[in-house]
Amino acid sequence: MNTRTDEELLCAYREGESEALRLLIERYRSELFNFLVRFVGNRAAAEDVFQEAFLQIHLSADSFDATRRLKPWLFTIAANKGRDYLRKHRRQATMELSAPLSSEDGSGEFIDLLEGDVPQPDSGLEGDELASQVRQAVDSLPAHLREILLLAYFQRFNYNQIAEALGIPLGTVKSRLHSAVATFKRKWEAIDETPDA
Amino acid sequence: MRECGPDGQEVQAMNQMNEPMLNPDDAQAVDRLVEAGFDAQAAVNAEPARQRRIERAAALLAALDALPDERAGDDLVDQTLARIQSAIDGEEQQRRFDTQAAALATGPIRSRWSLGLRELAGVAAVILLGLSALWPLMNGSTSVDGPLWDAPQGTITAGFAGSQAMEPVGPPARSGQPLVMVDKHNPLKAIIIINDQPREFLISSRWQDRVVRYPDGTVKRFRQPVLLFEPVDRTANPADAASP
Repeated sequence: MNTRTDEELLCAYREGESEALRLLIERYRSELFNFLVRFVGNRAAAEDVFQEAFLQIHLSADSFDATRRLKPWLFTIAANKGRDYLRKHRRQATMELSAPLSSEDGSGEFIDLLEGDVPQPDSGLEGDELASQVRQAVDSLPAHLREILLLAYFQRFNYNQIAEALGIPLGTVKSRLHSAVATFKRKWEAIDETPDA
Repeated sequence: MRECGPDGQEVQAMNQMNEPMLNPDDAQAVDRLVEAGFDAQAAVNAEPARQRRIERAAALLAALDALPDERAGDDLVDQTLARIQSAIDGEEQQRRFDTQAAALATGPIRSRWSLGLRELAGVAAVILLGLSALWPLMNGSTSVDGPLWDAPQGTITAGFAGSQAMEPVGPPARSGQPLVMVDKHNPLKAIIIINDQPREFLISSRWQDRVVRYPDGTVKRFRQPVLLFEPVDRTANPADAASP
Protein backbone atom coordinates (compact mmCIF):
# COMPACT_ATOMS: atom_id res chain seq x y z
CA MET A 1 0.00 0.00 0.00
CA ASN A 2 1.29 3.40 -0.93
CA THR A 3 1.84 5.57 2.10
CA ARG A 4 2.26 8.82 0.27
CA THR A 5 -0.36 11.48 0.92
CA ASP A 6 -2.79 12.58 -1.76
CA GLU A 7 -0.89 15.80 -2.18
CA GLU A 8 2.43 13.97 -2.56
CA LEU A 9 0.91 11.72 -5.19
CA LEU A 10 -0.40 14.64 -7.19
CA CYS A 11 2.96 16.39 -6.99
CA ALA A 12 4.62 13.19 -8.18
CA TYR A 13 2.19 13.00 -11.07
CA ARG A 14 2.89 16.60 -11.89
CA GLU A 15 6.57 15.75 -12.07
CA GLY A 16 5.95 12.97 -14.53
CA GLU A 17 5.18 9.89 -12.45
CA SER A 18 2.08 8.74 -14.29
CA GLU A 19 1.54 5.81 -11.93
CA ALA A 20 0.84 8.28 -9.13
CA LEU A 21 -2.40 9.30 -10.79
CA ARG A 22 -3.53 5.69 -10.96
CA LEU A 23 -2.91 5.39 -7.24
CA LEU A 24 -4.96 8.50 -6.59
CA ILE A 25 -7.84 7.27 -8.71
CA GLU A 26 -7.81 3.90 -6.97
CA ARG A 27 -7.70 5.60 -3.60
CA TYR A 28 -10.84 7.59 -4.30
CA ARG A 29 -12.64 5.08 -6.46
CA SER A 30 -15.19 3.97 -3.88
CA GLU A 31 -15.61 7.16 -1.91
CA LEU A 32 -15.97 9.53 -4.84
CA PHE A 33 -18.02 7.11 -6.88
CA ASN A 34 -20.48 6.64 -4.03
CA PHE A 35 -20.80 10.36 -3.55
CA LEU A 36 -21.48 10.81 -7.25
CA VAL A 37 -24.04 8.02 -7.48
CA ARG A 38 -25.94 9.62 -4.63
CA PHE A 39 -25.53 13.07 -6.09
CA VAL A 40 -26.42 12.49 -9.75
CA GLY A 41 -28.72 9.55 -9.15
CA ASN A 42 -27.42 6.79 -11.39
CA ARG A 43 -24.34 4.67 -11.87
CA ALA A 44 -23.65 5.37 -15.53
CA ALA A 45 -23.75 9.10 -14.97
CA ALA A 46 -21.63 8.74 -11.85
CA GLU A 47 -18.96 6.85 -13.80
CA ASP A 48 -18.94 9.51 -16.48
CA VAL A 49 -18.68 12.33 -13.96
CA PHE A 50 -15.99 10.42 -12.06
CA GLN A 51 -13.88 10.24 -15.20
CA GLU A 52 -14.55 13.88 -15.99
CA ALA A 53 -13.44 14.85 -12.50
CA PHE A 54 -10.10 13.08 -12.77
CA LEU A 55 -9.61 14.38 -16.27
CA GLN A 56 -9.99 17.84 -14.79
CA ILE A 57 -7.49 16.92 -12.08
CA HIS A 58 -5.05 16.01 -14.83
CA LEU A 59 -5.70 19.24 -16.71
CA SER A 60 -5.45 21.43 -13.60
CA ALA A 61 -2.68 19.55 -11.80
CA ASP A 62 -0.20 22.34 -12.38
CA SER A 63 -2.46 24.88 -10.70
CA PHE A 64 -2.94 22.82 -7.54
CA ASP A 65 -1.54 24.47 -4.44
CA ALA A 66 0.37 21.65 -2.78
CA THR A 67 0.09 23.34 0.62
CA ARG A 68 -3.65 22.66 0.58
CA ARG A 69 -5.51 19.40 0.84
CA LEU A 70 -6.41 17.53 -2.29
CA LYS A 71 -9.62 15.91 -1.12
CA PRO A 72 -11.73 19.10 -0.90
CA TRP A 73 -10.37 20.14 -4.27
CA LEU A 74 -11.27 16.80 -5.80
CA PHE A 75 -14.77 16.98 -4.39
CA THR A 76 -15.10 20.57 -5.56
CA ILE A 77 -14.35 19.44 -9.08
CA ALA A 78 -16.56 16.39 -8.82
CA ALA A 79 -19.47 18.41 -7.42
CA ASN A 80 -19.09 20.97 -10.20
CA LYS A 81 -19.06 18.25 -12.82
CA GLY A 82 -22.04 16.60 -11.16
CA ARG A 83 -23.96 19.87 -11.20
CA ASP A 84 -23.11 20.33 -14.88
CA TYR A 85 -24.45 16.87 -15.56
CA LEU A 86 -27.65 17.53 -13.66
CA ARG A 87 -28.18 20.79 -15.50
CA LYS A 88 -27.83 19.05 -18.83
CA HIS A 89 -29.85 15.99 -17.99
CA ARG A 90 -32.42 17.36 -15.64
CA ARG A 91 -35.48 15.22 -15.87
CA GLN A 92 -38.90 16.74 -15.81
CA ALA A 93 -39.90 14.72 -12.77
CA THR A 94 -36.84 15.87 -10.92
CA MET A 95 -37.51 19.42 -11.90
CA GLU A 96 -40.97 19.21 -10.45
CA LEU A 97 -39.79 17.67 -7.24
CA SER A 98 -36.86 20.05 -6.99
CA ALA A 99 -38.86 23.17 -7.65
CA PRO A 100 -39.07 25.54 -4.73
CA LEU A 101 -41.75 24.42 -2.38
CA SER A 102 -44.87 26.50 -2.45
CA SER A 103 -46.12 28.11 0.71
CA GLU A 104 -48.66 25.31 0.98
CA ASP A 105 -45.72 22.93 1.29
CA GLY A 106 -44.32 24.85 4.15
CA SER A 107 -41.77 27.14 2.53
CA GLY A 108 -41.01 30.11 4.65
CA GLU A 109 -41.78 28.09 7.73
CA PHE A 110 -39.48 26.76 10.36
CA ILE A 111 -39.37 23.02 10.47
CA ASP A 112 -39.39 21.56 13.92
CA LEU A 113 -37.68 18.20 14.10
CA LEU A 114 -39.68 17.26 17.15
CA GLU A 115 -42.89 17.42 15.14
CA GLY A 116 -44.03 14.74 12.74
CA ASP A 117 -42.30 11.51 11.85
CA VAL A 118 -38.75 10.66 11.08
CA PRO A 119 -37.72 7.38 9.49
CA GLN A 120 -37.21 4.73 12.08
CA PRO A 121 -34.97 1.69 11.69
CA ASP A 122 -37.77 -0.50 12.98
CA SER A 123 -40.44 1.06 10.81
CA GLY A 124 -41.17 -2.30 9.27
CA LEU A 125 -39.97 -1.28 5.82
CA GLU A 126 -37.84 -3.84 4.05
CA GLY A 127 -34.29 -2.77 3.36
CA ASP A 128 -34.86 -2.23 -0.34
CA GLU A 129 -38.10 -0.40 0.24
CA LEU A 130 -36.56 1.89 2.81
CA ALA A 131 -33.60 2.52 0.54
CA SER A 132 -35.93 3.33 -2.33
CA GLN A 133 -37.86 5.85 -0.25
CA VAL A 134 -34.71 7.47 1.07
CA ARG A 135 -33.36 7.54 -2.47
CA GLN A 136 -36.53 9.25 -3.61
CA ALA A 137 -36.33 11.83 -0.85
CA VAL A 138 -32.66 12.55 -1.55
CA ASP A 139 -33.20 12.75 -5.29
CA SER A 140 -35.97 15.24 -4.81
CA LEU A 141 -33.71 17.68 -2.99
CA PRO A 142 -32.44 20.57 -5.08
CA ALA A 143 -28.88 19.86 -6.19
CA HIS A 144 -27.33 22.66 -4.13
CA LEU A 145 -28.88 21.20 -0.97
CA ARG A 146 -28.25 17.58 -1.88
CA GLU A 147 -24.52 18.07 -2.43
CA ILE A 148 -24.09 19.74 0.95
CA LEU A 149 -26.07 17.07 2.75
CA LEU A 150 -24.02 14.32 1.10
CA LEU A 151 -20.69 16.01 1.72
CA ALA A 152 -21.55 16.59 5.36
CA TYR A 153 -23.09 13.23 6.15
CA PHE A 154 -21.18 10.74 4.03
CA GLN A 155 -17.87 12.48 3.54
CA ARG A 156 -17.93 13.90 7.06
CA PHE A 157 -16.79 17.27 5.79
CA ASN A 158 -17.09 19.97 8.42
CA TYR A 159 -18.51 23.36 7.57
CA ASN A 160 -15.14 24.88 6.72
CA GLN A 161 -14.26 22.02 4.40
CA ILE A 162 -17.62 22.26 2.63
CA ALA A 163 -17.17 26.01 2.25
CA GLU A 164 -13.74 25.39 0.75
CA ALA A 165 -14.95 22.61 -1.50
CA LEU A 166 -17.92 24.51 -2.85
CA GLY A 167 -16.38 27.95 -2.78
CA ILE A 168 -19.21 29.50 -0.83
CA PRO A 169 -19.24 31.42 2.48
CA LEU A 170 -19.41 29.56 5.75
CA GLY A 171 -22.76 31.13 6.62
CA THR A 172 -24.21 29.96 3.34
CA VAL A 173 -22.99 26.43 4.00
CA LYS A 174 -24.71 26.40 7.36
CA SER A 175 -27.98 27.82 6.10
CA ARG A 176 -27.98 25.40 3.18
CA LEU A 177 -27.36 22.39 5.39
CA HIS A 178 -30.12 23.49 7.74
CA SER A 179 -32.39 23.90 4.74
CA ALA A 180 -31.31 20.53 3.36
CA VAL A 181 -32.20 18.78 6.61
CA ALA A 182 -35.53 20.62 6.82
CA THR A 183 -36.37 19.85 3.20
CA PHE A 184 -35.33 16.22 3.57
CA LYS A 185 -37.66 15.86 6.53
CA ARG A 186 -40.52 17.40 4.61
CA LYS A 187 -39.88 15.26 1.55
CA TRP A 188 -39.68 12.18 3.70
CA GLU A 189 -43.00 12.97 5.31
CA ALA A 190 -44.55 13.58 1.89
CA ILE A 191 -43.35 10.21 0.60
CA ASP A 192 -44.36 8.45 3.77
CA GLU A 193 -47.89 9.85 3.47
CA THR A 194 -48.42 8.72 -0.12
CA PRO A 195 -50.74 5.68 -0.34
CA ASP A 196 -48.33 3.45 -2.26
CA ALA A 197 -45.30 4.38 -0.21
CA MET B 1 -37.22 37.16 8.02
CA ARG B 2 -34.18 36.97 10.19
CA GLU B 3 -33.54 35.66 13.64
CA CYS B 4 -30.64 35.74 15.93
CA GLY B 5 -29.22 32.37 16.87
CA PRO B 6 -28.00 31.47 20.32
CA ASP B 7 -24.38 32.07 19.39
CA GLY B 8 -25.19 35.58 18.28
CA GLN B 9 -24.90 34.70 14.65
CA GLU B 10 -27.68 35.94 12.49
CA VAL B 11 -29.69 33.06 11.20
CA GLN B 12 -31.61 33.48 8.05
CA ALA B 13 -34.94 31.79 8.58
CA MET B 14 -35.82 31.44 4.96
CA ASN B 15 -33.21 31.52 2.27
CA GLN B 16 -33.48 33.25 -1.04
CA MET B 17 -34.70 30.08 -2.74
CA ASN B 18 -37.76 30.14 -0.48
CA GLU B 19 -36.82 26.80 1.01
CA PRO B 20 -37.89 25.69 4.46
CA MET B 21 -35.42 26.16 7.27
CA LEU B 22 -34.87 24.54 10.61
CA ASN B 23 -35.90 26.46 13.64
CA PRO B 24 -32.91 27.89 15.48
CA ASP B 25 -32.86 25.16 18.13
CA ASP B 26 -32.79 22.40 15.53
CA ALA B 27 -30.21 24.30 13.52
CA GLN B 28 -28.00 24.34 16.59
CA ALA B 29 -28.55 20.63 17.09
CA VAL B 30 -27.49 19.94 13.50
CA ASP B 31 -24.42 22.12 13.97
CA ARG B 32 -23.41 20.09 17.02
CA LEU B 33 -23.84 16.88 15.02
CA VAL B 34 -21.68 18.17 12.20
CA GLU B 35 -18.99 19.24 14.63
CA ALA B 36 -19.10 15.80 16.25
CA GLY B 37 -18.87 13.99 12.92
CA PHE B 38 -22.51 12.86 13.29
CA ASP B 39 -21.71 11.03 16.50
CA ALA B 40 -24.93 11.73 18.40
CA GLN B 41 -23.51 10.84 21.80
CA ALA B 42 -20.53 13.13 21.35
CA ALA B 43 -22.84 15.91 20.21
CA VAL B 44 -25.10 15.43 23.26
CA ASN B 45 -22.07 15.46 25.52
CA ALA B 46 -21.06 18.75 23.97
CA GLU B 47 -24.48 20.26 24.56
CA PRO B 48 -26.67 18.17 26.89
CA ALA B 49 -29.42 20.78 26.92
CA ARG B 50 -30.25 19.93 23.30
CA GLN B 51 -30.25 16.20 23.75
CA ARG B 52 -33.76 15.60 22.38
CA ARG B 53 -33.25 17.68 19.28
CA ILE B 54 -29.80 16.27 18.64
CA GLU B 55 -31.12 12.71 18.90
CA ARG B 56 -34.08 13.59 16.68
CA ALA B 57 -31.81 15.12 14.03
CA ALA B 58 -29.49 12.11 14.25
CA ALA B 59 -32.41 9.73 13.78
CA LEU B 60 -33.63 11.64 10.74
CA LEU B 61 -30.22 11.69 9.12
CA ALA B 62 -29.55 8.05 9.98
CA ALA B 63 -32.13 7.24 7.33
CA LEU B 64 -29.46 8.15 4.81
CA ASP B 65 -27.60 5.01 5.87
CA ALA B 66 -30.28 3.05 4.04
CA LEU B 67 -28.74 4.21 0.78
CA PRO B 68 -26.62 1.28 -0.31
CA ASP B 69 -22.94 1.59 -1.01
CA GLU B 70 -22.46 1.41 -4.74
CA ARG B 71 -19.51 -0.64 -5.88
CA ALA B 72 -17.64 1.00 -8.68
CA GLY B 73 -17.05 -1.06 -11.79
CA ASP B 74 -13.77 -2.98 -11.89
CA ASP B 75 -12.66 -1.14 -14.98
CA LEU B 76 -13.48 2.35 -13.74
CA VAL B 77 -9.84 3.12 -12.98
CA ASP B 78 -8.66 1.86 -16.36
CA GLN B 79 -11.43 3.67 -18.16
CA THR B 80 -10.54 6.88 -16.36
CA LEU B 81 -6.87 6.53 -17.22
CA ALA B 82 -7.75 5.75 -20.83
CA ARG B 83 -9.85 8.88 -21.01
CA ILE B 84 -7.01 10.94 -19.62
CA GLN B 85 -4.57 9.35 -22.06
CA SER B 86 -6.94 10.13 -24.88
CA ALA B 87 -7.03 13.75 -23.72
CA ILE B 88 -3.22 13.81 -23.56
CA ASP B 89 -3.05 12.45 -27.11
CA GLY B 90 -5.58 15.01 -28.21
CA GLU B 91 -3.61 17.79 -26.53
CA GLU B 92 -0.47 16.65 -28.30
CA GLN B 93 -2.24 16.54 -31.63
CA GLN B 94 -3.77 19.94 -31.00
CA ARG B 95 -0.39 21.37 -29.99
CA ARG B 96 1.16 20.10 -33.20
CA PHE B 97 -1.72 21.49 -35.20
CA ASP B 98 -1.49 24.84 -33.40
CA THR B 99 2.23 25.02 -34.01
CA GLN B 100 1.75 24.37 -37.68
CA ALA B 101 -1.16 26.78 -37.87
CA ALA B 102 0.86 29.45 -36.12
CA ALA B 103 3.76 28.87 -38.45
CA LEU B 104 1.49 29.13 -41.44
CA ALA B 105 -0.28 32.16 -40.03
CA THR B 106 2.90 34.22 -39.49
CA GLY B 107 5.15 34.43 -42.44
CA PRO B 108 5.78 30.90 -43.37
CA ILE B 109 2.34 30.72 -44.93
CA ARG B 110 3.25 33.62 -47.15
CA SER B 111 6.68 32.36 -47.82
CA ARG B 112 5.24 28.94 -48.47
CA TRP B 113 3.01 30.34 -51.16
CA SER B 114 5.71 32.57 -52.49
CA LEU B 115 8.11 29.67 -52.26
CA GLY B 116 5.77 27.68 -54.41
CA LEU B 117 5.65 30.46 -56.95
CA ARG B 118 9.36 30.84 -56.83
CA GLU B 119 9.90 27.16 -57.26
CA LEU B 120 7.54 27.33 -60.17
CA ALA B 121 9.51 30.19 -61.63
CA GLY B 122 12.68 28.24 -61.02
CA VAL B 123 11.29 25.22 -62.83
CA ALA B 124 10.24 27.48 -65.66
CA ALA B 125 13.73 28.91 -65.76
CA VAL B 126 15.29 25.49 -66.07
CA ILE B 127 12.77 24.45 -68.69
CA LEU B 128 13.65 27.57 -70.61
CA LEU B 129 17.26 26.73 -70.19
CA GLY B 130 16.68 23.27 -71.57
CA LEU B 131 14.52 24.54 -74.37
CA SER B 132 17.07 27.08 -75.39
CA ALA B 133 19.67 24.34 -75.50
CA LEU B 134 17.53 21.80 -77.33
CA TRP B 135 15.61 24.08 -79.61
CA PRO B 136 18.10 23.97 -82.45
CA LEU B 137 18.33 20.19 -82.25
CA MET B 138 14.56 19.81 -82.25
CA ASN B 139 14.45 21.88 -85.39
CA GLY B 140 17.11 19.79 -86.96
CA SER B 141 19.17 22.84 -87.41
CA THR B 142 22.59 23.90 -86.57
CA SER B 143 22.95 26.97 -84.59
CA VAL B 144 24.91 29.65 -86.14
CA ASP B 145 26.02 30.58 -82.71
CA GLY B 146 28.20 28.63 -80.36
CA PRO B 147 27.02 26.10 -77.81
CA LEU B 148 24.97 27.21 -74.90
CA TRP B 149 27.80 26.71 -72.52
CA ASP B 150 31.42 26.42 -72.86
CA ALA B 151 31.02 22.99 -71.40
CA PRO B 152 29.45 20.33 -73.62
CA GLN B 153 25.66 20.21 -73.76
CA GLY B 154 23.95 17.83 -71.42
CA THR B 155 26.42 18.25 -68.67
CA ILE B 156 24.50 20.88 -66.82
CA THR B 157 22.86 19.64 -63.69
CA ALA B 158 20.14 21.79 -62.22
CA GLY B 159 18.46 21.08 -58.99
CA PHE B 160 16.32 22.44 -56.23
CA ALA B 161 17.00 22.33 -52.61
CA GLY B 162 15.50 19.83 -50.28
CA SER B 163 16.38 21.05 -46.85
CA GLN B 164 19.02 23.49 -47.95
CA ALA B 165 18.03 26.23 -50.27
CA MET B 166 21.03 25.88 -52.54
CA GLU B 167 21.59 22.16 -52.34
CA PRO B 168 21.06 20.34 -55.59
CA VAL B 169 18.86 17.27 -55.45
CA GLY B 170 19.28 16.14 -58.98
CA PRO B 171 22.01 13.85 -60.22
CA PRO B 172 25.37 15.20 -59.27
CA ALA B 173 27.44 16.86 -61.91
CA ARG B 174 30.49 15.09 -62.99
CA SER B 175 33.72 16.54 -61.83
CA GLY B 176 34.86 19.56 -63.72
CA GLN B 177 31.46 20.25 -65.18
CA PRO B 178 29.45 23.32 -64.27
CA LEU B 179 26.77 22.84 -61.69
CA VAL B 180 23.76 25.14 -61.77
CA MET B 181 21.80 25.52 -58.60
CA VAL B 182 18.72 27.67 -58.55
CA ASP B 183 17.94 29.32 -55.25
CA LYS B 184 14.46 28.14 -54.38
CA HIS B 185 13.91 31.26 -52.31
CA ASN B 186 14.97 33.41 -55.16
CA PRO B 187 14.70 31.60 -58.45
CA LEU B 188 16.10 34.58 -60.22
CA LYS B 189 19.40 33.82 -58.58
CA ALA B 190 21.62 30.90 -59.37
CA ILE B 191 24.94 29.69 -58.22
CA ILE B 192 26.98 28.13 -60.90
CA ILE B 193 30.01 26.19 -59.89
CA ILE B 194 32.59 26.47 -62.53
CA ASN B 195 35.92 24.80 -61.91
CA ASP B 196 34.95 24.31 -58.26
CA GLN B 197 34.39 28.03 -57.83
CA PRO B 198 30.85 29.08 -56.97
CA ARG B 199 29.64 32.20 -58.69
CA GLU B 200 26.35 33.94 -58.19
CA PHE B 201 24.33 34.92 -61.18
CA LEU B 202 21.03 36.64 -61.69
CA ILE B 203 18.86 34.79 -64.14
CA SER B 204 16.75 36.66 -66.60
CA SER B 205 15.23 35.73 -69.86
CA ARG B 206 14.28 37.40 -73.06
CA TRP B 207 13.26 36.47 -76.54
CA GLN B 208 16.01 36.59 -79.05
CA ASP B 209 15.77 36.60 -82.78
CA ARG B 210 17.91 33.86 -84.17
CA VAL B 211 18.98 33.21 -87.65
CA VAL B 212 19.56 29.68 -88.86
CA ARG B 213 21.25 28.94 -92.11
CA TYR B 214 20.43 25.50 -93.57
CA PRO B 215 22.81 23.46 -95.75
CA ASP B 216 20.64 24.09 -98.77
CA GLY B 217 21.28 27.73 -98.31
CA THR B 218 17.92 28.73 -96.92
CA VAL B 219 17.93 30.99 -93.97
CA LYS B 220 15.28 30.97 -91.31
CA ARG B 221 14.75 33.52 -88.62
CA PHE B 222 12.80 32.64 -85.54
CA ARG B 223 12.40 33.76 -81.98
CA GLN B 224 13.93 31.76 -79.23
CA PRO B 225 13.77 32.11 -75.45
CA VAL B 226 17.12 32.86 -74.02
CA LEU B 227 18.25 32.77 -70.44
CA LEU B 228 20.77 35.31 -69.39
CA PHE B 229 23.04 34.76 -66.46
CA GLU B 230 24.49 37.97 -65.18
CA PRO B 231 27.18 37.73 -62.54
CA VAL B 232 26.28 39.32 -59.27
CA ASP B 233 29.78 39.81 -58.01
CA ARG B 234 30.75 41.40 -61.31
CA THR B 235 33.95 39.42 -61.15
CA ALA B 236 32.62 36.67 -63.28
CA ASN B 237 32.77 37.11 -66.96
CA PRO B 238 29.22 37.38 -68.27
CA ALA B 239 30.31 35.71 -71.38
CA ASP B 240 31.20 32.64 -69.35
CA ALA B 241 27.68 32.13 -68.18
CA ALA B 242 25.23 33.83 -70.42
CA SER B 243 23.47 31.67 -72.87
CA PRO B 244 24.24 32.45 -76.37
